[in-house]
Amino acid sequence: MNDRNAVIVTGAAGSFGRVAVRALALRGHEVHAVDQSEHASWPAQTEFHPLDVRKKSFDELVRSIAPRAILHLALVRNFELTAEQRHRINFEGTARVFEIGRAHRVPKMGFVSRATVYGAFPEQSQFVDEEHPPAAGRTFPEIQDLIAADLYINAMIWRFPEVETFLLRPVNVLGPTVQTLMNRYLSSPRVFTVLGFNPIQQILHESDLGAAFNLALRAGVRGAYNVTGPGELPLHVLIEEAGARSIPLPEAAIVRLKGRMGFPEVPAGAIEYLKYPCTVDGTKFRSVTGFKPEVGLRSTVRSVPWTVGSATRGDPARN
Amino acid sequence: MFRSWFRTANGVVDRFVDGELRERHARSGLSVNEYGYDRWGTSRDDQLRALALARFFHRTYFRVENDGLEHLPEGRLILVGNVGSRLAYDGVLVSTSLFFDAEPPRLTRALVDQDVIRTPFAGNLLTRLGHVTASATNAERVLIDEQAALLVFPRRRRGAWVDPEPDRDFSSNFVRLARRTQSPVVPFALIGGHGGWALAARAGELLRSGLIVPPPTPVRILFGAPVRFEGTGDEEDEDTLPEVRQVEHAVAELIARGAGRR
Repeated sequence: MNDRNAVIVTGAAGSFGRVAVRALALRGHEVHAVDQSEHASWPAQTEFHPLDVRKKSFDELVRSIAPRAILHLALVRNFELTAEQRHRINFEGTARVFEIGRAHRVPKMGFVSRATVYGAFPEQSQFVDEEHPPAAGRTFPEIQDLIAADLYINAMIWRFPEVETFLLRPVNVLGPTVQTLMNRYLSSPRVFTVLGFNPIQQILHESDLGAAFNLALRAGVRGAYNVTGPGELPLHVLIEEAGARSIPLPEAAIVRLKGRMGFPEVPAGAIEYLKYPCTVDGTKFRSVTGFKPEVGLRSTVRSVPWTVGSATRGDPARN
Repeated sequence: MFRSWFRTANGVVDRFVDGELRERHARSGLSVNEYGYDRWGTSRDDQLRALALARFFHRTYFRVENDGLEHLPEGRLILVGNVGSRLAYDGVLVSTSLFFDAEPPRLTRALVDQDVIRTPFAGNLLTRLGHVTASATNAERVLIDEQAALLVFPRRRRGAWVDPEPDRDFSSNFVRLARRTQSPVVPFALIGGHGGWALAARAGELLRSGLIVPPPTPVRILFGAPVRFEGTGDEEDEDTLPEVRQVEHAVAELIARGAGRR
C-alpha cells in the first residue's frame, strides 16, 4: 500500500488527536489513527492501529503506509505521571517519531506544542512572536519535557530541510471534548483565582484547532507557528462566561487548597498563568495559511462543557 | 461579598459617566470586543469610570490649563516631560488633558514597571485602564498597532512629583523607541504653583507614593512642537545623546516659558 494521501495521526485517541482525526477525515484525508488505547468511534476513512509509537511496530506501520504526512499528537499533560514518564512520552516519543518519519522519507511532519511554553512572567511582553524563546521552565519546571520537545522540533525544522516540518503552538483550546488544562479549569463549578490578579487570556475553539491542522498540513507550510483564536478576555470574564464561580484567594492559600475541597489539582507553576498574561502573536500563521478562526469569542467561551446553564445556551459547535 | 461591594462602588461612579464622557471616549478610537475589552485587557467601562473621577481633579481641583495641544500630531506619539517616574497625579493630569481638551480626544497609555505588575490589584487596575507592562516590544506594539499616545517617564530620578527645575538626566530609551517606530516625540512641561508643590514636597515619601492628594493649586501644562528623529533605533548610546539633550532642552524651555507667564 503506497498511498501518498494518507496521514498518520499519533495520539489519535487523545483530546487533540480526536479533534485532528475528525477534521482530517472531513477534509477527505485517509486517516491512520495510532494510539495505545481504542477510542469508541472513528469517522469513516479512518483506520485504527493500536500500537505505541515508541515500539518497533510503529516503524513498520510508517514503512508500509508510506504516508504523505505524520501528525504527532501523542503528548501527555497529566501531572500525575512522574517527570520521567512524561519525559519518555513527550520528549523521547517526539524525537523518535521524527527520526522514523525522516528515515522513511515522509515528506511532511507536524508537531504540536503549546503557547504556554513562552511562560507567564510579570515582565513578559504581550503578543510574543515565534522568535521569542520558550522560557516557561523558569517558573514551571513540570513542563520542561514539552519545552524540550518543542526546542528539538524547532532545531529539526532547519537541520533537515528535506522534511517539511511544522510546529504549532496553539493558545488555550476550549471546546466540548478537549482536555486542556484551561478547559478542565473552566469546567469546574468552583475555580480559584489569585486575589488581585486578572490576566488576559487567549482562547481557541477546538474546531478551529482542527481547521489549523488541515491548513498546516498543506504543502509549503514549514516552521513554528503560534495559533491564536477569535480574541482575548480577562480571566475573570472567561470564568464568569463559562458559568463557573471564581473564588479569589491569596496565593499562599491556593498552594494549600489545591487538590482539596473541590479545588482542582494544578502544579505550582501553573498558578503563574493565573497572575500574568502569556499572550502570543498569531499573525504569521494567519498570513502563511490564510487561517481565520470561525468560532467567535462568545461561542468559544461557552463551548466549555458542563457549566451552569450550558444546556440552554444552544452552542452551535456542539450540535 | 467583595464582589457586591465592588459592584456597588462601580455603580456609584457610573453615575458620573455622562454623555460628554461617552461621546469623547467613542471618538478616542479604543477598539473593544463584545465584552468591552481590548486585546491588552483595557476595559472600556473602567476607563470611563476612571476618567469620570479624573475629570473632577482636572477641572475642579487642579483647574488644569493647557497650551499647545494643537501641536499633537495624529497617530502615534511619545509624550516626554518633567513628570515623575511613577504614575501619579501629574501623569493623570497629562492624560486628562489629552482626553478632555485635545481634538480629537486621545487616550494615553503608559508603561508600567514590573514591580507594579507584581503587586496585587495595582497591576490589574493599571492594565484595565490601558497601560502595559514596560518592555521594549510592548512599547513598540502599542505605538505601531494601536497608534497610541505613549507617556514615558525618562527621568532617572524617582518620585511622583513634578520638579520645577529643568531635568538633565533623561535616559535615552525613548529616543531609541522613537527611532525604531518612527514616532514623533512631543515634549511637555507640567507647571504647578510653586507654593503648593513645595508644601507637597515636604510631605515626603507618603506623598510620593501618591496616597495623599496635594493642595489644589492650579496646574498648567505646555505642549511643544513634535520632534522627529532619523535613524533605526540600533544606534549606540553616545549617538542618541544629542537627541536626548534636544528634548531635555525643549522641556526646559517649556518650563521656563510656563513659569515666566504665571
